Parts: sequence; C-alpha cells; structure tokens
Amino acid sequence: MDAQKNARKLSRRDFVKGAAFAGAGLVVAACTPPQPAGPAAGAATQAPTTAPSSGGKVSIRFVTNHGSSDVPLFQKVIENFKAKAPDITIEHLDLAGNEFYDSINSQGAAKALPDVWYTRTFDVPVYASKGWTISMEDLVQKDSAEVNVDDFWPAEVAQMRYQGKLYALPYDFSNIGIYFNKTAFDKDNVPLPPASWKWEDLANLATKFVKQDSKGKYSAWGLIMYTWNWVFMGLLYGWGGKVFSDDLSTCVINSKENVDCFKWFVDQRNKGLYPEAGSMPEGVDPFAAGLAPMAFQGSWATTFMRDTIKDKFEFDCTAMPLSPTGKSCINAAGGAWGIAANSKNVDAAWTWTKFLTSTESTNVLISDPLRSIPGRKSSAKKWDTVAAQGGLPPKNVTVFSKQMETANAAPYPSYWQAFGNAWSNMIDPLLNGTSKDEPEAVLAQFQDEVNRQAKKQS
Amino acid sequence: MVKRMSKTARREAIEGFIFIMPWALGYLLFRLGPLLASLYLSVTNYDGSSTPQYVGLDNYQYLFAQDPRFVDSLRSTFQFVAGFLPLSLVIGLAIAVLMNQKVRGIMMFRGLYYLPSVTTGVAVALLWSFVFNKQFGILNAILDFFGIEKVGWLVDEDWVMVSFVLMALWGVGGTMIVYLAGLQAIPTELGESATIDGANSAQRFFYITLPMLTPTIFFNLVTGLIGAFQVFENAYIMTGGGPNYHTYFFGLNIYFTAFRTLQFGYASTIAWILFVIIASLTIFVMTTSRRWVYYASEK
Repeated sequence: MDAQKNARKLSRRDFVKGAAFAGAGLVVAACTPPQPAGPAAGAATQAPTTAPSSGGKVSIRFVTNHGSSDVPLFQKVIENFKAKAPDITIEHLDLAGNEFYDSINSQGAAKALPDVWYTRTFDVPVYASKGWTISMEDLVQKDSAEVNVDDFWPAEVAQMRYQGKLYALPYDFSNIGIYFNKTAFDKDNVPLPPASWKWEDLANLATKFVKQDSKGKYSAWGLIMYTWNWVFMGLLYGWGGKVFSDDLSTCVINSKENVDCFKWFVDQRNKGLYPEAGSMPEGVDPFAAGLAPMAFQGSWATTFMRDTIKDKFEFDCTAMPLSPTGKSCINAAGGAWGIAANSKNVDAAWTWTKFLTSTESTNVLISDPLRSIPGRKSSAKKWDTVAAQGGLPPKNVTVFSKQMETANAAPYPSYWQAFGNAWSNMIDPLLNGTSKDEPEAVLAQFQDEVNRQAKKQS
Repeated sequence: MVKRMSKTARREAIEGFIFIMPWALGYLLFRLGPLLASLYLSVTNYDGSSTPQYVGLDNYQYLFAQDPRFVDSLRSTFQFVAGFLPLSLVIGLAIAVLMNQKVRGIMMFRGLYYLPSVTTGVAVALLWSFVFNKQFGILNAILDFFGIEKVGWLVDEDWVMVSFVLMALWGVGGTMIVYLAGLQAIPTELGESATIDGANSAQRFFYITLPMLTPTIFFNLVTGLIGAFQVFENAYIMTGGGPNYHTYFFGLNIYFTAFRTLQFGYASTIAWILFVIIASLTIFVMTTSRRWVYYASEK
C-alpha cells in the first residue's frame, strides 16, 4: 500500500528528473569506448562468448558462410563430433552472403566473435592483423601428428600464415580450369583443347568461334573469362609479374611484366577472345547456355555444371593455359577456420577445429558432396574418386586437384578488401572494355590507390 | 506566481510522458548514443581492434586533402541528387494530378503506380539489371529499333548515373501518394469559384492548385533531399561503386570504409560530413520556404 501511495505522489518534476538521469545513464553507457584489447591483450580482456557449465560442459559458437544446402553436411559433422566429445556442444549458425561479413566484422569490433568461424584465406591476414584470431602455431605443434600440416596444400598453408604463424586450418582450396563444349568443337571441326597448352594456343582455338558483324561488332566469342582479382593474379604471376612486395606491405603491380599481361588480354578482347561487359545476358551461365565454346570455371562447379548443362551438349575440362614463357597461371584461394581471440573456450574450440578439418570430416563436407577441392590432400584422393564415379562429365575433372600442386603460393595482404574494392572499380573496367585509359595508366592509378589505402590502414 | 496544475492535468502529463517513454528510450539507446559515439569516433583512428586513439582533426584533414574517393563520393552523390530530386518532384506531381481524376478504376491505377515504391531491394536491382543489359536489355532493344546505338547503361562511366536516376524514379510512387493527399486537401470551392470567374484549367493549376500545394511540395523536397543523399542499395548490389568510382556514393563509401576495410573512425568522419551537407541543405531549403510556401492557416 505504501508503495502505491508513494507512486501516486510522484511529481512530474521528479518523473522528468528520473527519466533524464536514466537517459543520461544510457547515453554514457552507449558512448563508453570499447575496452582496450590489442592483438596481444585480446583474450585476457574480453568477455567470454560462452561459459563452461558446472558439469564441465561447454558450448562453442560456430559460424559458417555456406548456404542452406551445406547446413545438413555441417550438422552431420557436428553429430559425429558429439559422439566423440559429448561435453562440447556446437551451436552452429550459417550466415548467407554478405550478411556474414557485416556480422563478423561487427562482432569483431565488439569483441564478441564466435569461437570458430569461416575465414577465407584472403581474410586470414585481415583478421590476424586485427588480433581477432589466435595463432595456432603452438596448438599445431602440440598436436602435430593429428593435424599433419604436410597433408595441406603448400600454397594454402602459405595463405593461412600471417607474419610466419599459422592462423587457420583449411576447409577447401579452389582454382580455375577451362571448361569446353565438345559438341561445339566437333561441329566446327576444331581440335579439342589439349591437356597442356599456352595462352596463345587457347587464343588460336578461340578465334575459330569468333563472329563479327558488318559494323565490326562481335556476336560470338571464344571464351567466357573471370576477371576476379585472385584468379587474374595467377595470370600476372605466370607472365612473371608480382602484385605485392615480398613483405606484403605494398602493392607493386605497376611493372612491365604486368603491363604486358594486361595488354595481351586487352588486345585479345579487342579481337573477340572474350566479351566486353554487358554482352552476355543476365541470370544465365553463358557457357551452359551454349553462348561460348570455352569458359573459366572453378573447381567447385562440377555438380553445378552437370546439373545445369545436363544433356544439352557434351563437355569436358582441361588445365588453365600456361603463360608465354611456360609458367603456371594458377592462383588459388580457399576456405579455412579461425579461432576467436575472445573465445574463453580455446581448448574446446581447438578440439572442434581439429575434428572439423580432419580427413573424415573433410570427406563429409567436401569430397562426398563434390564441393571444391578439399584442403587436405588425403581427402582430395576421395574427391577424385567421387568426381570420376559414373563416368559423368567432365571426364578430366581431376585436373583441378593436379593443378593445386603447381599453384602459386601467394599470400594475401591485410589490406585485401581495399585491394578488391579498387580492383572492381579500376581493373575490371580495363579488362571488360569500359575503361577509357590504357593499361599503363590504369595500373599506375591502381597501385597508387591500393598503397594509399594500405598506408591509411597501417 | 506559478499556477498549480490541476490533478487531471498532472495525470495527463504523466500519462503523456509514459506514452512517449518507449520512443524516448529507443532514441536515447539506439540513436543518440550511437550518434554521439560516432561523433567521438570521427576524431579517432578506431579500427575495430585496438582502443580508439584521439587524432584531432587528422581524419577531416585527410578527407579533404588526400582522399580522392571523397571527391568521387561528393561528385557522384551530388550528380544523383541533382538528377533525381527535381525529376521526382515534377513526375510525382504529374502522376498525382493524373491519379486525382475521377475516372473509373482510378483506385487500381493508384495502386499500380504506388506498387514499385514498396517493391525495393535485391529483386528490383536484378530486374533493372535485365532492363539495362547492353546486349539483351529491353531498353537497348527499343533504342536499336530506332537505329540508336546501344548504350552500356551500367558499365559506361558516362551513362551509369542516368541509369541510377531512372531506377530511382521507378519508386516515385511514394512522392506521388503524398502529393495526392495534398491535392485532395485543397478545397474544391476554390477551383469552382475560379471556373465561374473564367479561369481555364492551366490557370486553375498554376494560380490555385500549385500555391495550395506548396506545403506538400516543401515536405517532398525536404524528405526527398535527405533520402536522395543516402542513396546506397542499388549501387551496392549492381555496380559496387563503379565503373571507376562513378557511383561511389557517400553511403557506399561509408559502408566500405567501416565494414570492409574496418576503418570505423574514418567512416564516422565521412558520415559526419554527409550529415553536415544534408543538414546545411535542409536548413537552406527551410529558410527559403518562407518565401515560397503558402500556409492557408497563416493568412
């Protein structure tokens, strides 16, 4: 009763005063800067993402970026893990598309990252340089026999290192090969692409399919080409160029070798090797639709291509051509798993990461459903077997795992996102025919922009 | 001597505060706090990992003196606003006048014109990708029919802004609805009196409808101005700011700087510059409104 009386006596002034204090308190709370947590201090100062229960059981937050079709695969691995480690509960969340990056980056800034999450190899240095992930070097050494780093692709190991230390364990590793339409080649009596060839050979074959109208406009091309940065970097390496300095601190793309490479492709585009931007219809795969006889395609696309092409035409794949000097033009990028610096259950997170990257789990996640090339060589053998089963095309599908052996070991820098943003704005227009500038000018501007961003972020 | 409030008035005041509390708390928690935090971050080098270090006005200095992308954002955003805003005001009004006619099925037409403004997002961006495709798009097919050379709507530096203005105008239904409400609030007797006095339809529109509609035009101008400066979605989905930063709007620049390159402090700096630009132009428009906005109740 007394309390009710007091409530009735509350004056408007008291009410407003109380509300103002509450509001000010909230503002102060919202404006309080985050707790100091540099790369070294990270784990010591951050709030736990999960707390061990009294029975010694722990929960691990695990975030993927794979899409709904892969969720059952992860659930299967989680069930297998539960049988072996019943005290560790895996709370799995799959975040699709770019929402994944928005979420991870926000959680990183808030020191509330999931215990284990998906880190692409070009994200590894970004997260490591921020102190968001832990170095796994000591953990790997402790469990070296179980982890068996020698079973990983050397190029991927190089990409999972930051300042010499391993910051992730691999999921998959991807590269690009050339898919070709056998039916179209046979129809035009053009010899099929060989197992090993150079870019000039590809251009010569492609020319047979190029069509030009009376106004000089192309209506058919020889190749559908990706101008993605990590893919095209392989071509630059093949031409003898470099993209980053050895310590990755600066971009050195503006070199004679790289200018030559870009000039070659721009020249070939002008001859109809591959289409300019806007020449292909939206929403269809141009190769699967039969609009070009050859196409770049990733190691991840085997089942997609089978499902999309069906029996429309016969197809196969072959290796990425070598450069004019005979060097490999393969660059690779992959997926991996990192452990958060803010995790309070690093031991459990490590146990889960080891299991997740074991040959057994990699088979479940990648080789059996025929996703991209597994991050473990031991699992890649299974991938080759599954891919060749039933005699389905492409018959030469094992070329993708073979190409991994010669992939350029090209680590990515911590300013990779800025590099990518500048690439899509400056390099893509150069390659797809919408830039008004020559390769020399574009590369110079691009290098300046990337180095400006790198300096700003350092 | 201060007059004491009656018991009823006091009770009403308390109830009023209670009703406003959810909004006030929401504002304090989710708006004012982050707003002040971002103002503070704009003078720091906060990168999402270490403690924000105070850097004074370095970020602002860098933005104005050394960042070519700021110039791109400034140019592309102003180009978009200058292209979109006047057209949206004029076309929105023209459609609203049409939708204000007493003809059979007018409700269906109103619904049809308003529909695009509520169907936004990825689906619409994809739809426009089909329309603007250089080789297979319907727009170029029409141009081709008339013997006009195909245009690289989304890939050509010279045309990409035109494409963005056209896409934005597709959602002009929102402006149209506000105009329609304004038109229907104009007393019909004014037009009837003018007709009796011999005014034709053009005279009635320019001397009665338009002046009576100025508060609505003012509202659409201010909200349109603020909205147009925050253009983001289509550029994010369709061009990523390209080609060659020609659609690198402020919104996109802030997003990339904060959530891709993780320079939260510097992104806050860009955001505050955008705020200053929008606030200055809004204040300018509001100041000039005394000269051209007519409120019947003030006379």
